[in-house]
Amino acid sequence: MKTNKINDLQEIWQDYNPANYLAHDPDRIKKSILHSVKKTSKKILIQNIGKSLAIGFLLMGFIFLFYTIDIRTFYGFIGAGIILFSPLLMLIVYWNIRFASAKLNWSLPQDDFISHVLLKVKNHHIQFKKLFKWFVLVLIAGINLLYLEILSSLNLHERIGIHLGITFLLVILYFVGLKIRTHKFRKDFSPLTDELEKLKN
Amino acid sequence: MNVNQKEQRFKELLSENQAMIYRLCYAYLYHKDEVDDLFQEVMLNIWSSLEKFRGDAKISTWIYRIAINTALIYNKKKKKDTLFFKDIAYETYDKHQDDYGEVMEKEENLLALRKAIAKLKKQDRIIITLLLEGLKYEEIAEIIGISLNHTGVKINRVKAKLFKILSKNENQ
Repeated sequence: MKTNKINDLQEIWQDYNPANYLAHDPDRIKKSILHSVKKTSKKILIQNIGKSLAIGFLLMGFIFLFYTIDIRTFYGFIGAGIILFSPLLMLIVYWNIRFASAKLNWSLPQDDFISHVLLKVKNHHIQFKKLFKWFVLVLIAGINLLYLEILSSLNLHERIGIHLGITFLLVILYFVGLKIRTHKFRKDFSPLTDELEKLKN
Repeated sequence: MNVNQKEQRFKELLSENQAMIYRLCYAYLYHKDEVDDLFQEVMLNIWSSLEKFRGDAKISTWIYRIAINTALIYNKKKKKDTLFFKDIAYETYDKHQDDYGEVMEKEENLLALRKAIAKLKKQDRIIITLLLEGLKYEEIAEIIGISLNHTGVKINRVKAKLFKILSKNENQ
């Protein structure tokens, strides 16, 4: 093909008309859209069932645990309540703040869209870190309140030692969890963000 | 907008713009299945964004934006932007049909153009596709979200690159 005119290239390009192929089956578009909507709905349904099961198992596990402990004091109940509800609250808030392509504004100009996606991805990680920090702090408070009751028969030194040990363990778990999460976040989102950053520049 | 109105609007939009959307997907990916998949995803995003269209831009501009943005994210998700043309087979035509030679020439020209486009950077591919669709500089600037002057500079640069690649491929 020898040409140095954009008009010739436009002709070649626009001459390829897939409309005939697409119009071959008049219901094709409708079918494919419905198929995609059904596929997406099915995926969401499976995710929701998974979430409900996870919450159900979590609740059952905690209720069983508290039943066997036989809580009698006010702070014991508060601690148990915190342990019971903070993971649920954490999960619900997380599902709402996480990055989802369905929440993107697809009709923005390309440059704005790139910034919009980058901001959403960045916010997703920042908000998760904040949420996770608060979750661990609340959980530490809840567990320590519950242990106030459980350890009431021990002497002061032993109680302080166990409280410090539990707190220290949770702090370590927090840092490990955060590191794993950050690694996964980078692995999942780096190909996207790196490419978008390149395009932005 | 109820479901029937939405469906009606959607069908109207697609009958007017489906060829352009498909060609845009065609400039991004090379295997037919992939192109079909991206086309479907663009349609799905148009469908889900339809109620948000407020008329502050031309409907074709709005559709181009959705198509381009979907393609941007699609490539990253699928990581399939390094595909090769050797896998593409020519469509089969009846050698005895009257315009067989003409059809084959068109096919070869289109393939040569696609090969050249594939050698451009992502951003350049978007610009050249919009230009090949016959869009005005103002419209391209509005879709990409950069100034008219900047768009003009970019278009000239990309055009020069494309002709250089085409000429190089021709001589090989």
